[in-house]
Order: sequence, then structure tokens, then C-alpha cells
Amino acid sequence: MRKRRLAALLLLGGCVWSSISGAAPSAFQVKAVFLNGYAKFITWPAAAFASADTPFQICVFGENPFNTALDLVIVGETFNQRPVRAAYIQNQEQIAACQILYISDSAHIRVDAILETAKAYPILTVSDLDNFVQQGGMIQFYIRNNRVRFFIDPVTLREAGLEPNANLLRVSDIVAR
Amino acid sequence: MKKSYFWILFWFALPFSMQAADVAPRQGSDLETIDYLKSLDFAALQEVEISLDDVFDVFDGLVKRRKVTVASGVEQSMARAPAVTTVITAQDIEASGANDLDEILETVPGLHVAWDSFYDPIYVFRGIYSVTNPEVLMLVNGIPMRDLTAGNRGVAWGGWSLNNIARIEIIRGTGSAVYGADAFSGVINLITKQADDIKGTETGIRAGSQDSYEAWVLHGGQWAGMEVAAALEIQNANGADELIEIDRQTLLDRQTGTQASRAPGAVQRGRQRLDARVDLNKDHWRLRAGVQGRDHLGVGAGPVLALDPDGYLSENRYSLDLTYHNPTLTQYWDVSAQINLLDRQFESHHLNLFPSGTRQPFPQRPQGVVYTEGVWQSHQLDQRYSRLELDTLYTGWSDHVLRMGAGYAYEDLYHTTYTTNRGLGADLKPIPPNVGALVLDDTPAVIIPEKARENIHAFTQDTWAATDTLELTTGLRYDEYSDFGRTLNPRAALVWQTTSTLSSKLLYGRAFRAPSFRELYIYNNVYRGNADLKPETIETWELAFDWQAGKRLNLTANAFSYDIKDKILFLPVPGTSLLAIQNQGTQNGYGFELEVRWKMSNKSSLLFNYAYARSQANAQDIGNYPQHTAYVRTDWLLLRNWYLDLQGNWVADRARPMGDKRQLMSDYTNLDMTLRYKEAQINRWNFALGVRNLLDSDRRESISPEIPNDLPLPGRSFFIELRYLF
Repeated sequence: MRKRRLAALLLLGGCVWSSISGAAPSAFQVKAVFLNGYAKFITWPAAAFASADTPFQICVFGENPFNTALDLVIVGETFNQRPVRAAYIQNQEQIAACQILYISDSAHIRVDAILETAKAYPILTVSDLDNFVQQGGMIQFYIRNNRVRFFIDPVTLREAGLEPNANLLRVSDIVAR
Repeated sequence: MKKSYFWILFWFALPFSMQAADVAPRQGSDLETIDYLKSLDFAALQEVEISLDDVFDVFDGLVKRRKVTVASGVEQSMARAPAVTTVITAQDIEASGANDLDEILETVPGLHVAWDSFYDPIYVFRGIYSVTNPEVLMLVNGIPMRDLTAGNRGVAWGGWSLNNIARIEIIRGTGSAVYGADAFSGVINLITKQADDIKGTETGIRAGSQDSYEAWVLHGGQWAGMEVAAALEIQNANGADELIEIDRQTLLDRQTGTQASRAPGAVQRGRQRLDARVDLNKDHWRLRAGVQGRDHLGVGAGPVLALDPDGYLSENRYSLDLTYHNPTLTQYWDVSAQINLLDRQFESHHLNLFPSGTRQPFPQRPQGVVYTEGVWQSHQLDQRYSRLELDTLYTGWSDHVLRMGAGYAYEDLYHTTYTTNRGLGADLKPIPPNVGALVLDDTPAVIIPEKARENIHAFTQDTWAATDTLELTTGLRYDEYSDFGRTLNPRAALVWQTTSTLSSKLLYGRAFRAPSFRELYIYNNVYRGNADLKPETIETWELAFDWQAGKRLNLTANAFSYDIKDKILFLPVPGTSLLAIQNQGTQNGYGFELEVRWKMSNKSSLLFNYAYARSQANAQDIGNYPQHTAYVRTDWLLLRNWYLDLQGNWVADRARPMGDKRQLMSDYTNLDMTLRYKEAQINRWNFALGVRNLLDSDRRESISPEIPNDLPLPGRSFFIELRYLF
């Protein structure tokens, strides 16, 4: 019994927090920053917003893989004086109010239908799904050498009435459907 | 007992007390990371190195959304997979310091690892207990590891080292619509490491109490344009030395006036193991080969519950499988084909069923007969499995993912031998006492006749995204067996993405377990097989929830109920001492399971689960299983590179089966501790010190009343482990 107590005390002593160097960011923290950042490099037509004070909405369709990262990214963010909002949506009826639509892996079976719905609006579609751009999506994240990169199909963007800035295209991997 | 409660509370209150101090900086660090990322331009952001899943981060790893393949054959997030599943990663294994498969399986909610008299594991899912345990399907890389004679994993199982395991996927519940026979109460799929999982050469040694030693080398890399993974593991253990105070022979001695019993005496748990495995991958092709040797396996508490310090078991297993997998054969077709072979060669070496001097009943001898050499046997069982599987996925139908497949299996018990000095002779008449041993190979009295079975099967599964938030998975599998006929097993799963962080599931499944060769064909002085047996069936309903309650907390809960029909039972034949095998009886059960995964801080995490189960036959508790089990694991980063893992499990309320008048089994609590030094970033040296059963609790598992004090489990033990990655 005495030994047990001693061991416990030693352990407690060992439980003194020491600081370790900050861990590398997670892929979804980086992706959340990209998602918010796209707004600065793309021009939405005025018709994309119902009124002058409609917020700029970043939507996540299906299971939320960002956890709190996206919420933390958009704190205090504005886009052309509009507040930026994150919406976690489940239904296609909610798509029309989005400016950026991230389609989660969990919605992979529905991706055709979701893209079909999104096509009717000036919405930037983004996903991690394989072959997303080939299926008619606009931006597809991928990982190379432990870094987050993305494919972009500017033709699909322009078809939806979105105009990508040359600075965005310069740092993107441009592909076509 | 009270002392142990204090310590349990102490260990597990520790994280909570430290949690408070850690909240503020934690939130800050996430915000700081994000602010830093936001300050970068896109070009710089693309150069930020991210933390990948395979980095040792036990705290994030615990709450990270996991993917699972075992539920439907298609990789999905666990929250949405059409079954209640558990995924154990290599990181979980490493953190908890588990040395063997059965240790880590005890951490799964609703799964209790009990033991039989050989100290082979009994995987008790949700109260479904049986001594031979054929209700659980064990897969190795998706391929069944089965024993034809008993329908389980074989008596010379000998455990399974975890050094070469990348992950373990478990279905808690039925899986026959995907896997066919024996995916009845649960499915356990062991996935071995591939080149990517090892990345270099790892060597390791482990030494522990009871003279146990283990050494291994793993290698993963490129060779001749192929991805290569190779593993070699050897282990030698003398086994724990727990005492059996009274055994079956002690009870016989009391009746017959003999003094033959070896009890009180130690259980025999020694073992020698060798595991070698190669995994080659190029383009669409994968070839795997494995050899497993099990030798000098002690017989635990004795083959028939009378201690035997001398007999032992051995088995060699050879496996080979070749898979072609093309995920994009055409735009919409993902196709795979596999051929796999498994050969198992089992041998028992002079098993002393009863020790020398035992007095046994004998026809027309009212006093029975004293066997001066004891009653013993040796036997061999060699079996071979050859299988072909085809599997396709079709994604060209909007809102649907269709899976279809078919397969063929030839399962052959091709060589059996039997030498014994008691039982039935070649003429099926009792062997006269003390004439020495008879060789009964190729006679009607052989331990089990050489038999083979063929199976053809086909399955289909459709996942339909009926609405944006509702997914309906339906599946059906048809199996036809050359010996016991055909069976059709459906499943249905409705998965509702209730919110972006909550998913809800309603599941239905039907499954079967195939009658084993022993149940079909055994013929001896006690047991009479029945070639007309039907499969045992189970129907299960489950309701399950998975809630990602923020970045650091994941909560899951499920409730289940099941009905078993056509249970295969050994029943006494009136007027004889024989047991005949019949499809008779039903069993039903219900219960629930809860799990909490919580990343308490950047340096600590907590996993807790609790399971409740009740299982009854004819309104009587079937007994032997725990009605309550709970498990807690906490991990701590103490100092840079120093990790502490504390885990505890609690097993309670194990009733006795009907007719067993002994008092309830005592509950037990087990605590383990592992302290590990690991260079998480460079990952060269890795050193661990572990204590199992820290409190030296007296833990026992239920066994037949012929060992009245039940089966003792090991007391406190220690191990040290050293790994180096080249």
C-alpha cells in the first residue's frame, strides 16, 4: 500500500505541465482559411445577394469536417461590408442562400444533384471529393507533400457568373472538366 | 475492494482537476493558429505543413472522426456507416500498451473478453456467451480465420501480437449480409500494416513477467517497383501461474476415493509464437503471404477441466492471397477479385484428459476402472480453405452506390488422426481399460471424420441517398452450403444526418452461424453429432446516435435488441449418458452502449464507455456474461515526449447459468498503466514501461462448476518495451 502511494505521488509530481512546441495546423484549419480567403479573389455578381445587408454565407453541406475551425476563421470577417457567416446545412433548399458551398465527403452520393442545384446560382462550389472538378465542381482540395493545395476550373466558375482574379489563378492548379 | 475504489476515483479525478487550469490557453492556441494562417497569402498558405493522421497525436487521434470499411465493404465515416462499429488504430494500441489482441478488444464497448479452459478468448458481444464462441467472425484483412471443427478460431489460437496491426475494425452486431456465416454477434477485422504504415525498419523487444519475451522486425518500403511490407515477430512466454484450487478430478477423487488430481496446481499458459507476413503491392495487384506458428501452448486449466501440466498444443497456419483491385475500371465501376488460401495444421501432444490414477465409469463395472496412465489422447486436425471472391461497386446511378459480389469457398478438413486409451474403439465399442492407446486414424471412431464443405454466395447492397439527409442502405446475401443448405440474410439501415454534427441510425440485420463439423459429425462415447442441423439465426434491431459535440468531444449511444432462433444445443438423450445436438431453443437480449471521447486539453484525453446487456433463454438469464461493463482510458503528455496512459475496466453482475447453484461471480476492476517515451516528431526511439492489473485484483472468469472457484486471471505483471525505427 505504501508503495502504491509513493508511486502515485511520483506520478503527480510528473504531471507538471511543460510546454511543447505548437503542433502543426490540421488540414481542415488550413482549408477553412482557404475557404474564407476565396472571397477576396472572386467577384460575385450583385444578383448573388437578396439585399444590401444580406450576409456573405459560407455553407458546409453534410457532416461538418471543420469542427470549430471555420467558425473561428470568420470571426470579424466582412466581405464588401457584408458580415461573413458560416452555415451548416443539410438540405438543397438551403443552397440558394450560399455564396460558397463546401460539399462534405458525407454527401458524396448526392454530389451530382447538389451541383445541379448549385448551378442555378452564382455559388462557388468546393470539396475534398475525388474527381470533384470532373463532376462539375469548381475547387477541389488535395494534399501533396503534407500541404493543402487545390484544383480550380475557371470555366465552371465563369459559367456560374463568378469571376476569378488572376492572382488566384496564378497560385492554383488549373484544370478543365 | 474499498481501497481499489479509492484509487479508481483518484486516477480518474486527476484529469478533471487538471482540466480547469488548461481551458484558457487551449482556446487561445487554436485562435492563434488560425490568426497565423489568416496572415499568410495564398502562396504561403500552400506551403504550410499540416499534421497528418499518422503523426502520433493520441489526444487529437481519440476524437478525430474515424473511417470504417467493415460495416458495408465501402469506406465511410463511422458516424454514417450502416452498423455500430468500433475502430482501434495502431495509435490506440501503442498508447494503451496492449501486448495482445485480447487485451485491446476488452476496450470495445459491449465486448467482454472471457476465457475458456484452454485460456482461449471468448468474445462476448452484448451478452451472447458460449464456451466455443462460434458466434464471432474473425477476419484477417477481410479473410475469415475460422476453424471448421468448432466454428471458432481454433483451440490452438495462441493469441495475436499487435506489432503488425494497422487497425482493427469491429462490428458490434450482425454482419451476415456482408460476410455470410458466423458474423452473428460480432465481426472483428484485423488489418495488417502496409508499406505506408511502417515507413522504414522498426525493431522492437518486449520482456515481461512470467518470463515472457517478444522480438520483432517490421519493414515498409519500395523494392523492385513494388511497395513492400514485411513483418517477423517471435514470442516466448511461460504464462501466468495462477492456481486452480479444485478441479474436476478433485471432485471425482471425492466420489471415487482416489487421489489423482493435480490440483491445487498452476494453470498452463506457456506459449511459443512465430508470425511472419509479407505484403507486396504494385498497381492494381496485391499479394500477401503469411506463416504463423504456435507451439508448446499450455492447456490452461486442462482439456476437460482437470489440470494437465504435460500435454500441449501446436498449430501452423499458412496463408496466401492475391487481390486485383481497380477502383476505376471504367468511370463508374470499381472492381476487385481475390483468391485466397489458408492451411491450418493442428496437433495435440499427449493431452491428459484425466491424470494417472483416475477412476472412470465403465460399462458393466459398477466401481468404474482405475486408469494407471490416466486418460489421454493425441490428435491432428488439418484443414484447408480455398476461396474466390468478386466484388464490384457501381456509382453510375444517380443518388445510389451499388455493391454486388459473389464468391466460392471450398473448406476441407482433409486430415484427422486420433490416438487415445479411452472412449470408443475402431469397432465403436468401448476401449477396454488399460490396454494402452489405440490408433484410430481412418476409423469410424476417429475424433472427427475428414469432411469438406462447399459454399457459393452472392450479395448485393444498395446505398440510396433518398433525400439530402436520409441514406438508406439495403443488402441481401445468399449462401448455399453443400452440407446444411441455403440461407438468405437481409439488412437495412436508415441513416439520418440529423444535423451537421449529429447522425442517427436505425438498423436491422439478420445473420446466421453455420453448424460446425463437430456439431454435424462428431460420434463418440459422449457426443452425437447431427447431420440434419440448420444454421442458428439472429435478428437484430439497433438505434444509434453519433454526436460530434464540438471539436473535442464525441458522444455515441446505441440501444439494441436481438432474437436468436434454432439455437444449436447439446441435449441429454433420455435414458443414456449421451448428449445429442439439436436445433432447439431461442435466446433474446437487449441493452445499450455509451461512449465518450474527450480531448480534455492539448496534452490529455479521456475515453469512457459503458455497456449494459441482458440475455435470456426461456425467460431465464443465460448467465456467464457481465450485465455491466465500463472502461476508462486517460492519456497524458507529462513532459516533452513522455506519455502516460491509465486504463481501467470494470466487469459486473455475471449471473450463473441455469442449474449452476454457485453464488454470483464476483465483480472485478482492473487497472493498467503504461509510461512511454516516444519521440513523436522524429520517431526513432520508443521506450515503454507497463503494469497490468496494477491493483493485483483477484479477477476470475466463469467456467463450468467442475472448477468450482472459476478461472483465475493474471495478477499484477510488468513489461518493458524498446523500439527503434531506422
